[in-house]
Amino acid sequence: MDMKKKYRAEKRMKFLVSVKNRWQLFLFLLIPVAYILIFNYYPMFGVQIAFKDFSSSKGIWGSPWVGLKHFKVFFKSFQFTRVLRNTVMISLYSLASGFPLAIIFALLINSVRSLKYKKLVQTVTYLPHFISTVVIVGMLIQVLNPVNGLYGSVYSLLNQGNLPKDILGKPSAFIHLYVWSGTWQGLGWSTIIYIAVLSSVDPQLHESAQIDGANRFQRVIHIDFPVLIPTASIMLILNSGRIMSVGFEKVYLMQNNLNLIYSEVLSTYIYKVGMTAGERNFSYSSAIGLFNSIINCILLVLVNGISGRLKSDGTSLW
Amino acid sequence: MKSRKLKLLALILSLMMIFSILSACTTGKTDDEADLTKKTEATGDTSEDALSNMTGRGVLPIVESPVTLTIGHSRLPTITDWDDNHFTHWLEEKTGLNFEFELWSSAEVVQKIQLLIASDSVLPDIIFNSLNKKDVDTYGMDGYFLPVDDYIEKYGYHLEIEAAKVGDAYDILTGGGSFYQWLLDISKAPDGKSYVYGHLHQDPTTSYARQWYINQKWLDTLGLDKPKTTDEFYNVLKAFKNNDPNQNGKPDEIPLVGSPTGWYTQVEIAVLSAFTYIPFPVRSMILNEKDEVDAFFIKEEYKEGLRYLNTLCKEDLLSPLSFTQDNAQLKAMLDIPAEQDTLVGVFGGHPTVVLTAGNEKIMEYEALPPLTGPDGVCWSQYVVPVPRFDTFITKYCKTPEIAFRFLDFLKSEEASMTGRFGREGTDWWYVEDGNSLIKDLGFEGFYDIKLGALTNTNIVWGNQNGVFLPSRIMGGRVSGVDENEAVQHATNIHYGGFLTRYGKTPKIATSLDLRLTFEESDEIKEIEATINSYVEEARSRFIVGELDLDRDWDKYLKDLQSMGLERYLQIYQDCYSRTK
Repeated sequence: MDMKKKYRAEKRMKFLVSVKNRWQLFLFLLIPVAYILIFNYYPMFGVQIAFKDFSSSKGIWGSPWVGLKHFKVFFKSFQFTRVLRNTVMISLYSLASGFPLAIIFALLINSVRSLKYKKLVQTVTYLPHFISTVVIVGMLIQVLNPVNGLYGSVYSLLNQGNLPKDILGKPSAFIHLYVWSGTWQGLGWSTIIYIAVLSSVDPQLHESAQIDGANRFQRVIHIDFPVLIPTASIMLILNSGRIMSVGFEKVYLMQNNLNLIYSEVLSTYIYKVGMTAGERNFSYSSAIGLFNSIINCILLVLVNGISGRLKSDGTSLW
Repeated sequence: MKSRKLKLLALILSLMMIFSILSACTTGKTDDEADLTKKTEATGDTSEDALSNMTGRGVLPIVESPVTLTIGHSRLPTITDWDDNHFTHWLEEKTGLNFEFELWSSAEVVQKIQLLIASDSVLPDIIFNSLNKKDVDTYGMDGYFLPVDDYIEKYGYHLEIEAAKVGDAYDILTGGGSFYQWLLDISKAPDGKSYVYGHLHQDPTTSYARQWYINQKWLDTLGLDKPKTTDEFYNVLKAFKNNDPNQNGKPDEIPLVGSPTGWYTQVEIAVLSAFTYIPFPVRSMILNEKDEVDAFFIKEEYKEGLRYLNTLCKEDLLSPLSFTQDNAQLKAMLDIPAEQDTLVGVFGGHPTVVLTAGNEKIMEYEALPPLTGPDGVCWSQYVVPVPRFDTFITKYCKTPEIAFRFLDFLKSEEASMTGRFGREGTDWWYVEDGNSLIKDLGFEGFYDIKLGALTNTNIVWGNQNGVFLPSRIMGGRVSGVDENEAVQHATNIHYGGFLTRYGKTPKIATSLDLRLTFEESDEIKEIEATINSYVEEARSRFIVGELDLDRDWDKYLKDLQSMGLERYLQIYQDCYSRTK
């Protein structure tokens, strides 16, 4: 016991000495810490309105506590299952399409021999990332318009002037349009990190594999791919922390009354009840938002734990 | 050396901590203090001196020696200088008052006021155009804004006179009673006092803005008459679809189309009105035979209307795009160059919103009057006007009587016209024996405005500040003839169509009459939001056939019940019995 105490005191002493020796660095640290405290921790005080009946005239502190009332209303509400199902579906689908494709695409780009061609492909695939969501959805709607869009014009040209069916009005088409347009937009961007990792592969490995008679495909599978796995699992962990937070703008912009059954997600529902309904209901919105964050947090911890346990040298965030 | 620096750092850090704790303490204290001051501070009436300075009821100027009122307002892009503004000068000259302005960024004006109140800062005497009625009432009942009931009784003058001139244009709201009394009634907060002096700004045509237009050229080409009933309408659409009315040999006609998000472009509502009455905004309720509040969206007639629309959709007469496209895409279909083939037979929306003003394509269209359904129903949606309850006197006003007299003067015709259109004689002028565009409703045309006058800056205070502009004034502009034939045609069919819809409304309980208490509105808000969005969603899905009317209707009713429809109707019924 005594030893332990002594050890701790020694450790603290060491820490203080290191602070003293490198106090300039700690001073620098103050700035990001202050930033995080002010912009990330301080606003969390507002979360309490999820447990209150917030009224703007009474303010955050003055509003009366109501416990879990808003959570109960949400769990019992008609929209609960639908919103939850859609959110999870869209996220998982996006993850399932975007995540493996990014890795495959990075491996493909890495195997291209011509440097010029490689750079060109990279630049072209990065570009959509910089187009704003509003514009992307605008393009999507314009192109798919059955009367005056590209899709409609081509279809009616090939079918003696007959107009096609409206794809955007087809509820089941929503999720595919959403996910694949997102994948198209983000694919190039998400390969950046993998390409960076691939560039660190020791060329000697490739050379010796070539001497041993491995073809290009075998080299990709046995040399490049294993190098990517730690990065890929970190990316997977980070992405799973976002499973419940489907981007708001794009879903909202693509919504219409017909596809609402598949397109209402947590963030759009929060916006609708919180901001646009006749009676704005901030407390209810906050409660749903808090619920969302908690699930995200749990998922993150869960996937991180699994990933850390799968292999002895498994990757983990902390 | 180093240890001294360390001490300094420690000192700074500890000071910071102490300050943050202290500041937390002080905020707690000011809250208590604010409560105290609120209780002790009586809502001060004007002193005797100031009262004797004031002239009699309705007399101008309002004060003999100048009194200054501070006015809180959001900044407007069209006004470069509030002090040197035509309306400011005009009001100062007429009333003898001086104005000082406190201007807030328009995007955050509501938060600004809430912050000022929360921090117990002094507010301007009068605040324009900001909070919604519920907020005003809440703050009013907390004592931050002054009740005006006594002042209305003692000093009210102009609003009563102007309200008496509106004729029977608002009978549907007032039930035929006095418009003035009705306006005062709906201004009241749940505690029975009024913290606002209600006013109104309404173009008459917006009360029946659910409009649609039919391609007369196509009708002529096919030798058909304008449809009067839903059956005739079906036949006309069928002919539009199959008989190639645009004569280009291609089956590219779209017989009926609208948009879910445009300005009154939802054609399905116009069709449904031949089956049952659809109130708008959704907070208004229909009444059944027993004079009880009822929901239109559970009625058999509504179901039959959906069935009819579903038939139209199945046979490709009603374009399913009407439920997905936005206004820009509807416009892209209609607003095409004259040499291109016309695609649309019937469209919903304002002729100069879904087409660019002056586009010659509009010459092909005529207004389509409301249809009569199989049971002889022929309604048109009445758009309940929204009186503005956003101008109020705060408790910091030293001369509330004078402030009230000023607000009352704003309701007079001359102040309203000057406040809306600008300089008399230059921007607008009185005309004798004019014909107004709504003369059929009994309103004379009595003025004309210079086109583009409203784009002038620094002439008015925005376009609806506490002034009273009922349909008599907004519709009282004399009808001129526009040089551009297409623009003139658009005006003609717009007003012509309005007159065919005017008055086709049953007795309803409007959203203005159904005034919920705060408790009721707290209880209902989640139910109401869920029900309304579900009904709208289900309507579109029933029409396009995603949901089957025979198979899914019972489930639809059951879902509505599980969302709390019964309680929803009960709350509104209580509310209706109370205000009846």
